[in-house]
Amino acid sequence: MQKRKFKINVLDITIVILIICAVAALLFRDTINEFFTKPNVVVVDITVTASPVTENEKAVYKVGNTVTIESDNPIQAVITKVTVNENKVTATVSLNGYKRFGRYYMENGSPLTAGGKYKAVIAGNSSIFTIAEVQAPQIAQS
Amino acid sequence: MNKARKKTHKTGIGKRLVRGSLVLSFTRFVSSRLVRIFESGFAAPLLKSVKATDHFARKKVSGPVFKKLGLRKKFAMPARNRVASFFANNSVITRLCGLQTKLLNTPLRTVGLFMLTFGIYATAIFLLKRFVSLSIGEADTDDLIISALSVIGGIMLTLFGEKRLVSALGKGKITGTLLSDVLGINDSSLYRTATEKPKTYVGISFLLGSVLGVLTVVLSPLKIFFWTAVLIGAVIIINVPEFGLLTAMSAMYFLPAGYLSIICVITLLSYLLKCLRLKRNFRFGSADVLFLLFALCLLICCARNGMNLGELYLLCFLSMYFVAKNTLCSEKLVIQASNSICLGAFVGMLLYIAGDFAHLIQHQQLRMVLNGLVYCRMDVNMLAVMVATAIPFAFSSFSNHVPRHRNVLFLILAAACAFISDSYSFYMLLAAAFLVYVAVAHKAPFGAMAFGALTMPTFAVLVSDFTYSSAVNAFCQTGFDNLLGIAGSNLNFWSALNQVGGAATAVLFLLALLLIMQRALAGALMTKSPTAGVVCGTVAAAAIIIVAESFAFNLFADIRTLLMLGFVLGMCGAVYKVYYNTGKEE
Repeated sequence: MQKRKFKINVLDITIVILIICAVAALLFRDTINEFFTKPNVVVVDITVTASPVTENEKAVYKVGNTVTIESDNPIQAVITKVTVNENKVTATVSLNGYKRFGRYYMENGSPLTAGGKYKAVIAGNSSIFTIAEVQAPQIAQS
Repeated sequence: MNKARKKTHKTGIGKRLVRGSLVLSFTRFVSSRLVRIFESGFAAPLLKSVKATDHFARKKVSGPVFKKLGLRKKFAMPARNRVASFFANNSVITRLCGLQTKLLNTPLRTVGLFMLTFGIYATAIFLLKRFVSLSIGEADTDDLIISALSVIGGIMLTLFGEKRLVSALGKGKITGTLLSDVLGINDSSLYRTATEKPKTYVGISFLLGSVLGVLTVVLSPLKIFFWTAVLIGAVIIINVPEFGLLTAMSAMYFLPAGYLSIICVITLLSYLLKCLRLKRNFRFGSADVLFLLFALCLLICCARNGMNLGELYLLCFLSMYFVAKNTLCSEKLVIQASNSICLGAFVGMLLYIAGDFAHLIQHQQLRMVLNGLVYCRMDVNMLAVMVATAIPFAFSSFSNHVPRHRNVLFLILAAACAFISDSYSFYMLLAAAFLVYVAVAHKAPFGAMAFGALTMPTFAVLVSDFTYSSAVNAFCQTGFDNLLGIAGSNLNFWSALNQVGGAATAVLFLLALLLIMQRALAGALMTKSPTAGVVCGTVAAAAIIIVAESFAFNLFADIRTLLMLGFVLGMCGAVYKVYYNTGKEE
């Protein structure tokens, strides 16, 4: 019987490429899913540290319940817990955000990562927040 | 002697040892004497009577009966002429044939444009479902993946697909090997269609892609691709029944019995239509008469007891005997058939190993897909039966047209499966299959028996907990036999057949089997050409193995094994016709 020679052509290459792409897509299916999904709004609790200088500034944290994190789209956050030390205030703040690719973001898209600094206004006083920790979120009613 | 002549006469140390060995010479001598008994000795009439039996059946039994009934004159020929003229004169069928030729002649770019349009529409609908508040259903990530793959494939084929579809399919390394070496497509007939000037059908591709793309609103792209592939497959089977037969053989290890039986039904219909259009032959030998009687008897018994699904599958699978016997009518098709058996067994073994190690994969998605793939894999015991039947085909030297490493890979995988399964019966079946192959295909019965007598008991002693019951009972598991209503005891195939169809059915099957085996062995021992002898011997060895297994094991446990049984028995008739009873000697 005559032996036939087969050559690699564009159809073979396409098949191989499609198989490779399919396996890759399978491996990164969750990431693809996350990328093309409208993220759920979650309430993110963050622990922030602020460095007030005067006693008045420290007092503001004791009376203030809400804080406005300033940016192009300011975000309102709720202060749930405050610990005032000699020269530093540690507060836990709840705000609406979302999770994407393992990271948390504020509703306006600003990332919430440890070490991030934001200008915040509390009871008319301006302060600089440094994020110390981002805690596990609770799913909010969207 | 000059250097060139020295080079041609150079033999390896292994060959020289084999030639010089006294023991091997002795076994060869005894084997040749044993074979001569069947070739020209007192047992020769047993095999030589094959042609006389066929002649007798044709002239004295079936011929007069058919003549008296006038079946050929009153029914067969008018029906054939009517169907043939219907197909020749029907304008719809002529147009469909023209469309098919045009499609095969079109450049790959047409397919690429279709895929690209479909992918873009499907992606757009996915995004609409995800990000716009429309009540058009939920979108799954898999839909996006399929759409994206379609776009990628579409871009590739649109940019670089200048070749005709028929040429790309027939000459490609992957598609060409699969279609021309395994799945029974006759490539020369493919190229006969390549007569017209290729033309890219941009409008049709765009329209079809848009329509199917919009359909993704209600159906997932995966389903659309699946049903398109099923439709294309059905069209190919209707055109080429051999494709359906060999696809069923290749896919039997991972497709469920229901899907396989659908392929078998389409193949049978296609073959019958081809017969009626005078494009295929239907030969009816003495063995076929008995096999048909057996099938009718089984059908009547099943119908009397109220037909169930398992019995329908059984009949579909057994009908492949006739299709295999009549369609495998050339050397190339026989080789393609043996390749398809090997490919099927190879895939079956891969799936078995993959299934065994699936739990080790940490990636959840990958594990889920793998679990889905191995869902219909064969039970290890039935796999052992099937792999043992496929062993002669893997060993046979007539598959020299494929690179030898494929056969080596097959054998390594078989040994790996046996090792992983930890089933001694798996090892024993593989060894027995090898010995039967050597005995029948290479005409070395004494050597095989002596080797078997030395190695098999030693192996059994070494594996101290090996007993016959431990090997056999594992095979008598209940599977489809539940569906057939014969479960509950450790049956072998024959007892199960007796329960399904009664003693008469079992006796008819045994008689058909005897005649089929006679033909297979006649082909193996009486042909003059060594290559033909090996081919016939390989098929005969496979038939002997599966028949022997039927006496020990319950093949009904996985009904797909009966597809293999029908196919191998059909192949016996086919190789007998192709290599031995060619009509030239008469």
